[in-house]
Amino acid sequence: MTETAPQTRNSSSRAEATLVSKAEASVLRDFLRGLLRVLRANPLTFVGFILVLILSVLALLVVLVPVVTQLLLGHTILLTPFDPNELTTDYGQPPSTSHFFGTDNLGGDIFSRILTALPLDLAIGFGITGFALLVGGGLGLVAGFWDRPGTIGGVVSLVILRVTDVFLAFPSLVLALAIAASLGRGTGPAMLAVLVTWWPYYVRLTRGEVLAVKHQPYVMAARAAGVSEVRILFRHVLRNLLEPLLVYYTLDIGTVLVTFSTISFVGIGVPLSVPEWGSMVELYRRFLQTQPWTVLSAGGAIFVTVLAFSLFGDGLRDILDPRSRRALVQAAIPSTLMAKAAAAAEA
Amino acid sequence: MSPALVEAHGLVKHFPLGRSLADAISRKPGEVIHAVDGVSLEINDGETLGLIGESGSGKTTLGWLLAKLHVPTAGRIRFAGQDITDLTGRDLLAWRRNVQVVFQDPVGSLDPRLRVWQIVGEPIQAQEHLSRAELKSRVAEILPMVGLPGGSLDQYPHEFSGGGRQRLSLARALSVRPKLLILDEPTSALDVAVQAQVLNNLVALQQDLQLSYLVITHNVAAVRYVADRVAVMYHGLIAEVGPAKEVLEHPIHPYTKALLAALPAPDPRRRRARYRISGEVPTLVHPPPGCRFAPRCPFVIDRCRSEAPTLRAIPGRPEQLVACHRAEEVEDVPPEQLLTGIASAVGGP
Amino acid sequence: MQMAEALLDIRGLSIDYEVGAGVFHAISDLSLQITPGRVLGIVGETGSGKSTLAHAIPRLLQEPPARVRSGRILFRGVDVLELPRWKLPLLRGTGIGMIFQEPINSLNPAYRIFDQVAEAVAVRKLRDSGQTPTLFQAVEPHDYSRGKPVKTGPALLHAAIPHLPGIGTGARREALRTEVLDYLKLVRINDPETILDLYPHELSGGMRQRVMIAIALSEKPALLIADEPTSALDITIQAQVLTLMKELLEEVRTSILFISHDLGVIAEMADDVGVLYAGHLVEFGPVEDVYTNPRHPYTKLLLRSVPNRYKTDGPLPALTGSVPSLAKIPPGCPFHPRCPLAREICSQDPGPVLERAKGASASTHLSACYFSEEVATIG
Repeated sequence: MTETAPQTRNSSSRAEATLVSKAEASVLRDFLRGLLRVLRANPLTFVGFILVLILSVLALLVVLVPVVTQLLLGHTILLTPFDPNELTTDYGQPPSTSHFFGTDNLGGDIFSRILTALPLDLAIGFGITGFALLVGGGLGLVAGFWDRPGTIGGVVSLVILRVTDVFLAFPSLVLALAIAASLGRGTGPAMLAVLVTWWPYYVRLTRGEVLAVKHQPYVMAARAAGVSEVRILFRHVLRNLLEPLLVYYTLDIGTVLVTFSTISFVGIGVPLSVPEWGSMVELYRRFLQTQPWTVLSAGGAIFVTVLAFSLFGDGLRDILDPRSRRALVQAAIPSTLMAKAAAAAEA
Repeated sequence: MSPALVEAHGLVKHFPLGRSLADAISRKPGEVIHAVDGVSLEINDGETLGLIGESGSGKTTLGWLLAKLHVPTAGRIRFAGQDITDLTGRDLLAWRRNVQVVFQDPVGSLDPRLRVWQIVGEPIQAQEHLSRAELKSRVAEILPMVGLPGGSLDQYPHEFSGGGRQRLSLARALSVRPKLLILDEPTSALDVAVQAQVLNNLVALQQDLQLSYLVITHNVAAVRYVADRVAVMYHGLIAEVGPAKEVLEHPIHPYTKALLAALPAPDPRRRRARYRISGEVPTLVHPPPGCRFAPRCPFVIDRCRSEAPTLRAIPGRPEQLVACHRAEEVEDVPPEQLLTGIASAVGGP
Repeated sequence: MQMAEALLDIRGLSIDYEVGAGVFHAISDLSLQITPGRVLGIVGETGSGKSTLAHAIPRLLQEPPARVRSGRILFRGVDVLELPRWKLPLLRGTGIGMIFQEPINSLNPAYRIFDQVAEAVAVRKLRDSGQTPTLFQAVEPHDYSRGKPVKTGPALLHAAIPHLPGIGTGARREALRTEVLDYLKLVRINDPETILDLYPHELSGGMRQRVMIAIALSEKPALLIADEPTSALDITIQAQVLTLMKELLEEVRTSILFISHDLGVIAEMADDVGVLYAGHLVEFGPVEDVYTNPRHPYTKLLLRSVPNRYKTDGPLPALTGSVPSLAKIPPGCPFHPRCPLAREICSQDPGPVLERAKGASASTHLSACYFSEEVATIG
């Protein structure tokens, strides 16, 4: 039996004066409480959450340990058991105690290479998606909020939307490949290619959410109270925007990762000397039958990371955007009052 | 004799409909929705004016015009003797203290992400700069006025029932101590039992805070209880206006009669009754010349179709204004007569 | 007393909703009957369980989160709750029809009016001709008797496919067209040919509701459940639709279960009325008796709180408190915390039972109050 959260105390009429004012209740505390609830209720989300945590911590360590040890001890110690570029004499060895994921045909330790690639791939995921969110989100905000026809805002909005449409008309992967190919090899060009391809989706998403909020009665009520347009933007629109965007962002990380890896897989993008999961898959592709652990480890790393973010993103949506769950609960119960009460308790 | 608190003269609001590219190129004027098409009325200090009508009558638009949430296409508005039609900027912001709106939708009109003290305090914040503690204490004073516990400052709107949210909206509107409160359908989302509580609360508040109300609703029973005067709107125009008791018990305009006849009353004898007014509320895009109610009016004559009536008083009823050519003749027809048959006593077309 | 067999006989129905926030007791131990030819009105506020009741009868509730705790719903002797899932569609439409509050939601926005009405007509014609199975077959004119066993399986499939809206051949569409027009005329739509090709959003609210009624009636159901059918309409349009329904009652022998929160609408439409409070049926009887001489405190207070006086006459006699959450219904009589007549016995488990009201004139006037004879004294 679930605990009765304070929210279900329907304290409307003056007959019930049982409200406790939560002293300095913060948004953060609400979030954490919601997080715990979802994690407990949903084992898959829990798994995703743990995985994301582990991966993030590992990535940080892989980057920081060499730097810290260099500073403190004067020479670098790698977190990985072997230097990723070191070529040992154990060619093509299957996984063993000394080489957790085995070695490739040149003697490189797969485990070390995968671990070294972790920060890069995670950074791609977080970073590029983040940039796309900021750029696309910003444009979408403008296009959504100041879109009255006949004003300057309306024209700008129109331009933004049409340019976005042009970009959206291309299949994202093809476009990314084309841009990366034309810019030449390298990590930078590959990242740029994905970024350029990705921001349009956020424009559409953000604009949709802004439009939904803009027409809500509470925005009109704020206007009636004399609140300035800018304040309305920050206070009402952005706040309500944050959650759907965050959820989409989390779920998107996985997709960006795969796209980036595909670019590297195809041969454009990251140079061979830099370990990156996608290029590793490409590199070891021909060993699928003879030394399967090579390609499977690299592919597996992509799989696990994307899965972790997807699971976590799903759970995040349940925490942050109870609208979807509320809507489901509400639809199932025909009675208005009960539906609202049940739905409100999901919040 | 002091001027009325609010005076509206010839208010018009047209909403443009989009036009096709071809029309835009050929410079054909686009079509418009005649939401409000020339309304003049007054609200006096300390009184409640009930504005009743069905959907499409323009009552909500009129309310928003008076709250300066829409810019009128034509007409003037005076508030406490001063013409406010063209107020903008800082002057408009300062003026907003005087008139606040309680919106129809108790769910949508409260930002679900904000807490009670932020929502109720928002109008205050827009006008003054208070610290968080000051704002919270101001809000805590207001909440008991509407029957909410003073300790609910940190709650979220979804933790309240429909009636509770309505009170929150009311508290927000009252936070800046306005002179006029415009209530848009205050009872629609509520149950009968809660409606009674809210209505009682409104009447009590009016005396305590010396408020004037504009109550916009289609709930005629509720209006009967709260209003001093009642205005009936149809198709963007006022059909009838006068003291509540007079308009609701002795309506003159055929539309008012039709509206009152249509009300379901908790009287089982009505099971035999058949409602005889046919037709839908017409589209607002091409208003007919002449009286707007003519297509549906049981008392219509030729003059009604060609010549639009003006709002006027009839002999013997100086306080009631009616826009009907046949006002004197149909004055005494009771609404019930529209139920079982066309009023034959007065002669139809 | 020889009475016609009850069309609908509900016995001891209890339904809960189990959601994350707890268990809502939507309906508690409800029993009522509908006699053929009479209109039963159910009146209740939001949170009284009336919508749940409306959806429960044709088993339209989603089984989780809803759960039928106990009870039977006998429709012409057949227990709806015992029917296997695959038989349920056979019950609906021609047996039990339903119209809802918001016609814009109940009409498919992607199909034209003709297609939607034709679909309903087609279902009924298939069942009439025996090509598809049904539990209850409509026999001209407007007579209903138990169905006979019919072909299933391949015949069902074969018969169903050509009748998908918009896909039927010209001849079949033509055959349906006359009936569609007939039913649209039945609901007093003038020049129905003009709306056949329109989409729902192109019609006004009143027209949409008439189309819904036409769709429901075209299947000639024995029982029509109307769940707040006029609540979303303007006052004058509501009056038109109610008048229409009253006239139809004389022409079409369909019994109606009419659900509303509006006491006035129920007074206009119903022959008998049941008052719901927090999932309990607290009063039942002929509508004249219940309205003029209520025998339950809730009914009396509810009737009194409808504003019909002017503010100069003093405050409205409002009910105190609020409707209890269905997750926390007070023990004993659910109304006792707000009742002016409450005594100690009222708060004890089990609460009062719906029985013949003391001092009432009609034998069918029932009340679930220990002190039903004192209700008249409530000032």
